[in-house]
Amino acid sequence: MGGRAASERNGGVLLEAEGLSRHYASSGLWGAERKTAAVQDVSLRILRGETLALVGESGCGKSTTARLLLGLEPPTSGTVRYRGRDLGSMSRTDLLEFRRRVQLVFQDPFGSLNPRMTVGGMLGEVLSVHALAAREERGKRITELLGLVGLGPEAAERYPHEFSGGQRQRIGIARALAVEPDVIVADEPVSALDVSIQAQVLNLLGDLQKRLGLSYLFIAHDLAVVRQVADRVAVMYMGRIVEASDAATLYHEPLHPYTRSLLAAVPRPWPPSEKRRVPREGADSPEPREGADPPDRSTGCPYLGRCRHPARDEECSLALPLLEERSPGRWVRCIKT
Amino acid sequence: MPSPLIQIRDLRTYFATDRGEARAVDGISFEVREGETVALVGESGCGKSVTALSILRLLPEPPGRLLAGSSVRLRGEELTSAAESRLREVRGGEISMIFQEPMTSLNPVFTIGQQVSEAIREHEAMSTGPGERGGAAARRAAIEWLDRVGIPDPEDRYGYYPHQLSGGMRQRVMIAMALSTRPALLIADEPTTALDVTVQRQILELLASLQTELGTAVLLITHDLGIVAQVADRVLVMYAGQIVEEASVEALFRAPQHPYTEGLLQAVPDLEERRERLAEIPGNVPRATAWPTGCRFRPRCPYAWSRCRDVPDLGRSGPAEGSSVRCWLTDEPERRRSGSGFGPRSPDGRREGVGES
Amino acid sequence: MLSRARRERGRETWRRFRRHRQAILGLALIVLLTGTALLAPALAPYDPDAQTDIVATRYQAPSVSHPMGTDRFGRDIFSRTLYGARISLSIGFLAILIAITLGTAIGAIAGFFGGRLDTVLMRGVDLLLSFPRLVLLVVLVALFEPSIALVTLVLGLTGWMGVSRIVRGQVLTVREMEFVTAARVLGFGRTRILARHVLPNVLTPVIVAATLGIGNTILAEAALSFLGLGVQPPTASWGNMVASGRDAMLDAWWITTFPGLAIVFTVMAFNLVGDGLRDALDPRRVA
Repeated sequence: MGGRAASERNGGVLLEAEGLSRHYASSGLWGAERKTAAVQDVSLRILRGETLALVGESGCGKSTTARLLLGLEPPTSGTVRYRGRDLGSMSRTDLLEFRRRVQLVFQDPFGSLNPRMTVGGMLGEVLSVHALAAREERGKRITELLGLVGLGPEAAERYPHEFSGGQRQRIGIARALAVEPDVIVADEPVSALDVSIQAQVLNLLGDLQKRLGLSYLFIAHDLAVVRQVADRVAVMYMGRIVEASDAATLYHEPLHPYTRSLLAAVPRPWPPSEKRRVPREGADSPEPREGADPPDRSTGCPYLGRCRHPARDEECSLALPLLEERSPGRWVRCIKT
Repeated sequence: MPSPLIQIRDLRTYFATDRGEARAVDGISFEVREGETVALVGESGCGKSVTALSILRLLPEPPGRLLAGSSVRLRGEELTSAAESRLREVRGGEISMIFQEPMTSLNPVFTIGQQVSEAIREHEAMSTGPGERGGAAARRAAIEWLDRVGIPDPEDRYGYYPHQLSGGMRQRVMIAMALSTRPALLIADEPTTALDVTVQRQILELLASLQTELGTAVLLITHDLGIVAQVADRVLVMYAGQIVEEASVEALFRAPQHPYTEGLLQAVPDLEERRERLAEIPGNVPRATAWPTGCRFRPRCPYAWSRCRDVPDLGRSGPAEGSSVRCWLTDEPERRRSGSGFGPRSPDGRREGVGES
Repeated sequence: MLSRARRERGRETWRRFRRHRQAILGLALIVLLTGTALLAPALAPYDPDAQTDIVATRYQAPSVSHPMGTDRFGRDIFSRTLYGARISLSIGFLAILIAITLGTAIGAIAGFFGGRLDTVLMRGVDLLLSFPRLVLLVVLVALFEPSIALVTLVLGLTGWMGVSRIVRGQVLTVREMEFVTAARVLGFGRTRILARHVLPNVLTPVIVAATLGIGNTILAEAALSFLGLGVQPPTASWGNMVASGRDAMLDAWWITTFPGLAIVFTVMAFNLVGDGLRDALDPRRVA
């Protein structure tokens, strides 16, 4: 697959998507075909050792994007490349290798573990399928993996239901680490956890990144959590990326109206910090009413129905705004900003 | 000071489970006064939802039961011993409740308009005679309420079924059903947890404005401290079936008294800046079938010392009116200063300053 | 290392099962039945096929020497009932085994691979289900010489369709679960995923259906034997014993009644155990 040299040649890009689109055709009850575009023209790159966050509300397409990047579903158009090699044209052996390099951690700590397998059985299976440890070595490696995520060796003999949500999440992380990946796609990994456990798992993910040199694609809807983990952030709305930049800039100077409304909507624990650098929307932009997004807006800006940008006008409905690079590394899809 | 609307004294709700008796709520006392917003905050397993359900006796008994000595008074009237018929009047009448998952709280085979009308008819003194009149009046009132909660084209949407609406819309319908009977108290159990953050903001604002208009008191049950800061007057923090701290919202966020509250506030990720590590509360929430002896937070507390082997009472935490905390640190505050709190762990995973257990 | 965890899990299931008193009763009955079936040669006071002086010994009412009476050939009903247990139970178990194996295989393949294969298989199942089972049984048996082996085979071949539907439904659900996605992301092959991840989570309703199915199978065998198409005399089966007593029900009620009661209690026992198992094995309780 090329190893480190290949990715360096590639500019340190490990995993990238170019022009990804995914449409679903659903036939209505009486045969009328409806095409839903879950993801439209998404391009992004995950670099070695960095965390890219993909944020958006439900239905924005972030989870589908993750599935496309993992090769779980074929894109309707566009390509996914790992270390420069197109997923769609990989041989079976290459794909198996890819599966080692890019792993997934799930949101739901309850459904993501097989209830009928012990933790040790689960981890052992991974090691065996990928021939990562000889039979005699497996026990030791399992203990090592459990230790990496902060669990003791006795956990190997237990079933998932005997653990708490946070512990199950750790097991899921251990399973992903078992194949020694480069990239971990974390799909809402802490959304289902209590705040105190969330902190533990976030810290764990951070430690693992430093220790093992991992890259993360971190998918979430909670902007405060994302602030804690992300180097770069991409905001999605209705299947498209509407803004992308490095984290600090996005939080302090958000450009796209949707990003601004997302940030404004996050309830903040009291007291407000002295230097409030993240702007809150004032009384001039009350939240738009729900139900105002028409489902198929074929022309113009998809955010138009909810947009409260002061300069918004008819020009916005003429054509779909392009994702443009305003300054190096800062991309926005809006003609008014 | 407004009079107490709900007074809860020594509430205990236990469940019979496979693993023994779960003491979900283990001796809770608090008040909600007319018109105020009280937040009951805690993580999963602390007993907050069970508390809410116990107020309205909505728990299946068996396997649940309210222990003798538990008291829930609505304007002085004891609800724990009330007849089922009286309870039915109270539910949806003086006390309404909305839940986290509006899809399961709304009946999928009836239109939203019908459901709101039904709520209105059941509880308001409207003529429900066989004539057209009762029905039409209720329908008009329902449409008014749908409009009031922000549903566009209410006349049209009266005939919509729950599955045709988004989550936020359904929650608005729930709110209409709950508030159309003008209850004195609205219990809201994680009302926005299942919603997107932009929708959440709208729903909270809606609740706040309706509450002001109607003078309804709200008991908000949540795990989200951000929401608490935004809407609550007073906060009750629950841990392991008990209230561990009670304070006004300003006092709680400025100077949390209980180590658990302190840990929670520190564990919440900050939108403003990225920290090297988040402060953690080590360990896990204990099981309701096996609460730790002594102070229940002791195994996870960075300040714990030998005194903590005894259960602290909920005592005053300081001169502030209405503040109380269940912690021995009130007697020995110097320990808090010399302790390291929930500071980040050293890189090799060891934590400094965790108390003896 | 692994067996300790499995034993603990087994103990938990047993604990839950134990709480259903009727299920325990059913289980006790089954144990009793199986025991008597196995020990029939030792327990039976008479040879089930032995006929002595017919005129002297036939149609005797229940007495101390013949606790269930004798039939029209003077054979002891009690002994015949005991031996009949062997026949009925073994046919029941084996036929169900065939049905479960076939049904699980077809249902799992249909549910897991989906697409045209699924459609073809399930339409086939629907076609077979559209025939009343008894008619199918009769037709199949009539094509060949009736024998115990044939009856068992035919019962198995006519009983798998329901199982396949149940299994397919479960497989469709489990297939969407995140731990299956996890297995895909980890690069596991489809066969492994089906065998090690999907099937073990599908087995619970299958076990319940199997237990309940034994009762049905025993009834079906009894019906076949009653019609003369099942176990052939002189071999005693509860079904043909009920049949043989048909004409004499008013005078010699015991010939039909005792084997009939045996059928009733056996089927009931399996149903009770099946219900208990359903609750005890429910994976939702495990979480």
